[in-house]
Parts: sequence; structure tokens; C-alpha cells
Amino acid sequence: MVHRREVDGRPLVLGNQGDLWGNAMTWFDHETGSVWSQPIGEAILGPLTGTRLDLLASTLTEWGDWLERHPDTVALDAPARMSGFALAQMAIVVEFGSESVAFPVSELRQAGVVNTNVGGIPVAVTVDDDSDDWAVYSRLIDGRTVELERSGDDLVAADGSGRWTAERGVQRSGDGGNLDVLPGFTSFPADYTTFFPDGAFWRSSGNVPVAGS
Amino acid sequence: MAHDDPFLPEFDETHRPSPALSVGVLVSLAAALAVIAVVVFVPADSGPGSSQDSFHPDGWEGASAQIPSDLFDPVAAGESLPDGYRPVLPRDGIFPVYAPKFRTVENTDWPSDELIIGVEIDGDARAYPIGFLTRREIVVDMHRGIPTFVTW
Repeated sequence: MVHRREVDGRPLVLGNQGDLWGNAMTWFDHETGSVWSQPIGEAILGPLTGTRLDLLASTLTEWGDWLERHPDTVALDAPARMSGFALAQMAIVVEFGSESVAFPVSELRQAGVVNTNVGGIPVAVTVDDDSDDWAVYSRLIDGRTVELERSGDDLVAADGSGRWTAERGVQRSGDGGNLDVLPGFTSFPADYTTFFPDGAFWRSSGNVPVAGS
Repeated sequence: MAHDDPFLPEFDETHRPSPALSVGVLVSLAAALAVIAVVVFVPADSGPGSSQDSFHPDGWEGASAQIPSDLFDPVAAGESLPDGYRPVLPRDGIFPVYAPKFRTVENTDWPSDELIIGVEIDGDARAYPIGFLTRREIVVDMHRGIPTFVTW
């Protein structure tokens, strides 16, 4: 979505509130601290509650199609996704605050799901044994931290409080709602070592710092 | 610096929150999110745009990434939360791009089937790749003088 970040002619700087409302992202503005809901573009907490941002026209399309219609376009200086590589050779990197951890896909496949903390955030990282589907979830459910176990195509709470699809975190039973999906990205271990010298590789026997690996 | 490595950290010291601020943020976050043990808050990077070929079409230098230390937080202040509201991460725990830079088509090597969000204002077309937005979620931009906000 693309919004005009302006209220009564005054530009707002918005950041990531990091909370979810209706399973959707929230923002905060640096001017008043109000909390905004992405899908409605409206402040839902704080001084600007009830204020809406205008939605601007945008398109979701493939780069090649966009380029054909807009040959003079500029492109955000950012990497595109990786393509053409075997996921098995890569690691899933989870990064919060100053901490990052790389989970080698080959080891994740053996473990099914890994329960750990990154930057103080309780996370579960899972990859399907025979497909390339992987996901990072918050293990904070209704204010409780749960341990997740893999059960076929599902994840189940070790305390029996719920069951979700492993691929998307959609609730299948229990009353905690869907799992919150957290960001992660794929990296070759060698690249991770180069660019995250303070990071660590997850191992079933304990994290191994990049500096000592 | 070459920019063909997708995992190259893009440091932008001018927009990095100061250590003092990080401490302030840490304190307020600890209050805001007692359920999450936030250890430290130092963004690994603050946005694309350190390479020589990158520029901003408006000549815009970007917004400040620093969260004002005394900024109000309605969640920490105990405002009554709407149904279905769940604290998950600290503010800017997923760090937005506050100072985006762009490259020309000639200097871009994305695959043609890369999904992008495209925005065109007054003939000025810009593309934001979804793969990257999945990781950073937010780009704060200025587009032909219009303050824009791209989210995913």
C-alpha cells in the first residue's frame, strides 16, 4: 500500500509500531506517537485517533511489466530476491535489534522446527522437509510463550493449547488465533559470515558465533 | 561499492540513531512491552543507498530515523486497546527505510519476474521490490514533493 503521509498539510514521519491489530501491521508517527492501522490508514490510538491518511495509486506487478510501461522508472536501491539457488545450501536469517541468528536449512529440515529467542523475541523457525516452504513465527500467543512442535504439515503447541499450519501459521484448533509471521530472509552461510560478523549459526547443540565458526 | 550482493549491509551513518537515543528507546520499550524481554535496540542498518550509483530523484536527504526520546506511546501509557490489538515487537524492531535511494534501470539487475510495488506521480515512476519490503516492511519517501509511505 502507498499512503500520503500528510495530515492537514503537515508531513508525518511514520515508523513501525511492531504490534498487530486484526492481524495487520501498525505504525507510529514521530510527531505525536499515535498508533496507526495499515489496512485502513487510520490512527487508532493516541492524539490523532480517527485521522486517516490518503491512499495513493499504486500497482503490484512484475518488474519486467512495469519497465515496459515506465521505461524511465527508477528502482529502489535494494536487492531483489534470490533466485535459482537450492534452499538446502542456504540459511534462514532472523534479525531483531542487535542480534541475528542464521539457521542452516539442512539442519532446520532435520529439526522440523526450532524454538529459540532472537534479540529477546521468542521465535519458531520451521522449514518443510520436502518443499521449500519456510517460516518464522512469534511464539508469543495470548501473552504466553509457547514451545512449538512439528506434526506433519502442522505446528502444535507443546502444552496442547493449539494447532496451526506450518506453512502459513493458520490456526486449526485452539483459541489463540493465527501465528504471527515475523520477517526472515535467506542467505548463503558464507555471505552471512562476511556481512554479519557479530552473528551466530544455530546448531542443535547450541549457537556458534560467526567469529568462532 | 559494488551492489550486486543481496546481503550487503547498507550503512547510512547519518541516519543511525545515536547510542544515547538507543538507551532512551530501550527504557521506553521495556516499559511498553513488559511481555518481551528487549535486550538492545540498535538497527543493523537504516536503509538502502550507500552505493555510488544511487540517488534520490527529489534530491531528498531522507527523514530522521531517530525516535524522539520523549515520544508518547499510547500502549505504554495504558490507553485502552481495541479488541484484537496485540503487542508483538518493539517500535522499529523491524527497521523502516527512512532515507531511500534509487538507481536507474541501467544499474538495476532484478529478474523481470520480480514482484514490485510501482508508483507513478507526474511522470516520475518508482519501483519498490516486494522481496525487500518483506524484510523491511516500510519505506518513507518523498515523491515529486509529496510525502509518501510505502508499506508491505
